[in-house]
Amino acid sequence: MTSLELIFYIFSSILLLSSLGVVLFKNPVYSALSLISCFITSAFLWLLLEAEFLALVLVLVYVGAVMVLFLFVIMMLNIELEVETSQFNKIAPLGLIVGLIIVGELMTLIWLRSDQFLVTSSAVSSFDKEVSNSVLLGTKLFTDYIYAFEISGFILLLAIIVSISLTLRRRKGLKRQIVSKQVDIDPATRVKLVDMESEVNK
Amino acid sequence: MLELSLIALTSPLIGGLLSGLIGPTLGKWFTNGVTILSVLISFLISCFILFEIILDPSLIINQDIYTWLSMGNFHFTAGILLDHLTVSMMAVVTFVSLVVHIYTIGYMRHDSGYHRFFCYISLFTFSMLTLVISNNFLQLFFGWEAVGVMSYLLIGFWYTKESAIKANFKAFIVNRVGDMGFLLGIALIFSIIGSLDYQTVFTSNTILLERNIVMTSNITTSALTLACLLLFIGAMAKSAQIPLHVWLPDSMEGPTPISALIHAATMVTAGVFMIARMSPLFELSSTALSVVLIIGAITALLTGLLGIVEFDIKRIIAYSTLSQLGYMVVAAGVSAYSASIFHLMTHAFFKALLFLAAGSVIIALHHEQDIRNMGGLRRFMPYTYVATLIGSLSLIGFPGFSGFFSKDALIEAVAHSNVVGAEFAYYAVMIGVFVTALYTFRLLFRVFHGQLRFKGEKIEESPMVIIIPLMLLSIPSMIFAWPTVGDFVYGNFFADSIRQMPSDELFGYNFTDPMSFLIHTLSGTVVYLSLFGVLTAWFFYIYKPDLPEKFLQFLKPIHTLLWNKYYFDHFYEKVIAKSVASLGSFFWNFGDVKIIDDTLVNGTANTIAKLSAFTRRIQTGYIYHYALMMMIGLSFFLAWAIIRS
Amino acid sequence: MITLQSYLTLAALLFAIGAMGIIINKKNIIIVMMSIELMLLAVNFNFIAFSYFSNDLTGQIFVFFMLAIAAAEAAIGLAILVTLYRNKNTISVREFKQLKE
Repeated sequence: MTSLELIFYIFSSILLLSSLGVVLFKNPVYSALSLISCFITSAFLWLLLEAEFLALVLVLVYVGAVMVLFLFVIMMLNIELEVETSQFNKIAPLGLIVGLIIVGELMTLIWLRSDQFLVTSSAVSSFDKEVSNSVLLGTKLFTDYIYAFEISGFILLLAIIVSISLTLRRRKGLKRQIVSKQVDIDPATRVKLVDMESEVNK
Repeated sequence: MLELSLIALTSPLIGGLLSGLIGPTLGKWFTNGVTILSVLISFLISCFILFEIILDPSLIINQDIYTWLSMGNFHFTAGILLDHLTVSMMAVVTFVSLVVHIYTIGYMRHDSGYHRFFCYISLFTFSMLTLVISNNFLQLFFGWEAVGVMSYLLIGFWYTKESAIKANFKAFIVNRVGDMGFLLGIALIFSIIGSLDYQTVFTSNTILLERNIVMTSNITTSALTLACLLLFIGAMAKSAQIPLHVWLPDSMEGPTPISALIHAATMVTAGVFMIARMSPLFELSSTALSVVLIIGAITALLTGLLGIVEFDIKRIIAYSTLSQLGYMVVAAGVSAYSASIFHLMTHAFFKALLFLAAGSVIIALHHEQDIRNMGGLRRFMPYTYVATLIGSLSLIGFPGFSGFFSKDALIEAVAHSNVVGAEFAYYAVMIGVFVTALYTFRLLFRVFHGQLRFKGEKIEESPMVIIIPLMLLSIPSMIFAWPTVGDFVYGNFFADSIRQMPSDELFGYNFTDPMSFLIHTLSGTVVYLSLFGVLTAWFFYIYKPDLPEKFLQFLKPIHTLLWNKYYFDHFYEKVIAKSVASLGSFFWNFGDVKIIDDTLVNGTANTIAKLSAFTRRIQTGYIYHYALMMMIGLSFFLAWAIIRS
Repeated sequence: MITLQSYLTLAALLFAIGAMGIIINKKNIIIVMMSIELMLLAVNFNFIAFSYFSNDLTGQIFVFFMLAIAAAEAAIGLAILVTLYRNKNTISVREFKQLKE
């Protein structure tokens, strides 16, 4: 087997094991760390698929920001390690069966219906090798998908506002400006124009 | 002429409505005035039309005046038919109604429902006129039902009395049974001929005769016979023939004026009128005529016998009415429709007279109705006595009075008839003559002769407003027949309205003038039978008044049978009413409560509740359950994707 | 030979493991959120694989946007979680059944 295949198999097995770890670990911190290893190994796999930019963005954004956020929250909430007699709830057997069924169906679709795919199974991609992946992505992004790009920016802004407004706590007794009340005044109640004689040239 | 007849028809309606709606506010004089005026107008117009038609027979009208409902080709209309039969009936009905209206002023003077009574009797007059004047079956049925409703309202006039309520239910329900047959007959005629108009039906009567209806595998009958029998069932209820006669004695719960108006002169005669009107149909069916004859004869005899044992003055006269109705039906059964109608008219006069006189007695004795507590009243109430005597003589057929001519003509027709059952009918009516005389004079002697048995206050003659109607009715009871019997019964008076055989065939007698008819009957047996009846009554109730009780010992079983009215009421109550009631309660308990309420209504609700309680448990609140559901849905979706491809 | 199918198989397995994580989880809600991230990762895998094998860059664009959205969603989800913890003082899944009928 070629080195490509070897790399693929090693990394995919690490990926699968880590994902099992996410689900099965008792300690949530271990779960979070397993998820981080999932992301890193999948970044490697994406490199194999010539999606360099996205692989790096995955590590930077997902691992660097989102998982760190997860860890913050896990640390912040005092989570006790539960000592449970059984890991799994009552519905677990049914869930496992359904899961197996889904996997089986997906396998059927993938392997036995592959003639209906619109793409060939083993073509080698011919992305433009002259230019880097970022340039290619950027070209497509800022021309064909500019609208979606702007909206996704807006959604990120929305996420910020939502998070802050949900979790913000104000300390009582703190003096601060309320800008909306400052702006919402009627000049007639604040300003009075008075006619006066000039004091200067008397 | 048409407009006049419409005015005659509707003026009692207007009078009734006005007196009923605004009479209570305006007072007795308004009610009296408006209703009597309206009936008087109706009466005068009826007499006028009668004379006009007698003078000029071409004025006969048969016209539709209003289309009530149209269905495709068929139109249900209201119409007016003015021929000899109709206008004679109109005159009689309005005359008796007028007399009763005047009488009511005195009779109901102290009653709190004064205005309501006048309203009802005026509306009744309108209903009866509608029935008589109609030219199609639908309007006839409308009038039929309307008089039934007014009779119900009037019998139960004192609605706080429980016996009155029971009586009016009984009357209405028994009439309903008859109406069922009546409607079936009308429907049969309509389904075969396709029209409800008299003219059309009568000219197509042979079509009905030829059409055969198979009732069972063994019995086939012509549609005409079946229709006539069904129509006769309606007449049986309305004219109180056995077995649907049970309501009439109980209808005496109503005030006496209505007993006179409805249950003597007009409503009960509607059945007889209908048979005469349908003579073109009945004539073609000898089976139907035999049935009519036999039932009429049975009624005439058996109900007359009941009059001998009764003690309530109104009930005796009620049984007399039943018996006389039997006579009229017998006459129709032997195809002597003209005699039947003539007897109807004379009977209206003398029976109303008898009822009103009885009412006068009741009022004078402060609502005492048992004849065992009366006696010797002729000293105190001479006018009433004379009126009762005149009515009684007319009823038994004393030579010269109106009842004599009608009854004897009728009996002659029966004697000459060849219809199946005519012999039985002849013996029945002959015995009936004796019985009639017996109970009539029993009544007269016990009430007006003998010792005074009434223990109460002083007895005075009734006021003028009661006596004048009695006098008004006495006159036709005596002399009505003299000028009319020749034409009405033996002549062609009703030739345009009634179809019957020529009179010399029918009666076996060539009528020339009343006097010779009278002499002719003296050679027959009828007069002597009634005389014998009077003598028997005199013997038992004046000569030896203690004899009846002794006789009672001998005749105890017969007396019990008669006293219980042949157990008809008993049978109806215990057998028929009970079984219908139990059928109804079965349907209620099982059908309604169990099936519809429990199973369908409650059951549906319960099933849905149980289903939803079961289904509700899917909503557990746990997210992972919901996620599982989504996964299951996803697996179905994937399976579909696999199968589809 | 690494074919498209292998990548798709990998993505399918990841997806199923993520789904199972939600269903058989008995611990706390953080695990649910992490399982959701796993499922999103599986979908991204699919897109990248198809993009590679069909020579179309559109798949990668899609992943781009999905990364952004997933990040936003994780942030908001955690904010909600924090608020929930402040109200109920626990994040065990068995305590959250207010939607029960």
